[in-house]
Amino acid sequence: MKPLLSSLLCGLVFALGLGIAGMTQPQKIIGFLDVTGHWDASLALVMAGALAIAGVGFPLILRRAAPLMGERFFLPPPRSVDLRLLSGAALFGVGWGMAGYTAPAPR
Amino acid sequence: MPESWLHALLGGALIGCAACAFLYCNGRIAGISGIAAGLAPPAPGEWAWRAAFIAGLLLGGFTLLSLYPAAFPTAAFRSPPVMALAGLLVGLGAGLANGCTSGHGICGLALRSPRSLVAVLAFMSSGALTVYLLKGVWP
Repeated sequence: MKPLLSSLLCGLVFALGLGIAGMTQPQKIIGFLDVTGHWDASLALVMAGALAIAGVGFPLILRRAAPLMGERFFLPPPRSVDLRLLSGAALFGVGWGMAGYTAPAPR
Repeated sequence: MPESWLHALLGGALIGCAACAFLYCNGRIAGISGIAAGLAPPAPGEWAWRAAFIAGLLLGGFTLLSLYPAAFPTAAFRSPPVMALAGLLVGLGAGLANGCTSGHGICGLALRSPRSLVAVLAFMSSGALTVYLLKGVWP
């Protein structure tokens, strides 16, 4: 039961972070991707804030033999950069840019 | 510093804390697309923690809706068919790339994974290019 509760709480805090950071607002995503327009640095700052914590925290946590509530850490297996990764990330970006792009106000 | 930058840093720090807590407690990577993808088909022992995490995300969404409704603007969006296509591309792309903004952008970079760095640069470039091209179509 405890691992489920911590899953739930981590998801909850994650979502609160996204909302406070402005990442639930499409115009924030577009403002970041719109490099030739009025560039909005927010998304870069969200990553900076997250990486300031996780970039230091992850290596420290992984020094432990096992997580608090489990027998081992589940990390993605090391893999090389391949076409699947590149094409997937490129497609993701296209959808990301399309969805975040807010429509002009109807006249 | 604009207030929105402070929000971005603070929200980002919360996301970082959630990712650290998840790795510390459950030993898992907080990659949203991967967690959601593992829900179907349901595998024994793999389903409940994923469902709990997604439930937490939704609960967070509802909490924001009541305490901080500005997080969800009601401005006009792209038409449903465009959103459906965008959603398909996002899902397909995250599946092929084994991660999205959370898995590669936060956790992968925190693990100093070269794959994640390549993925982040690739989806940011294609996203910027898409927005640039769409500005011509939908000014």
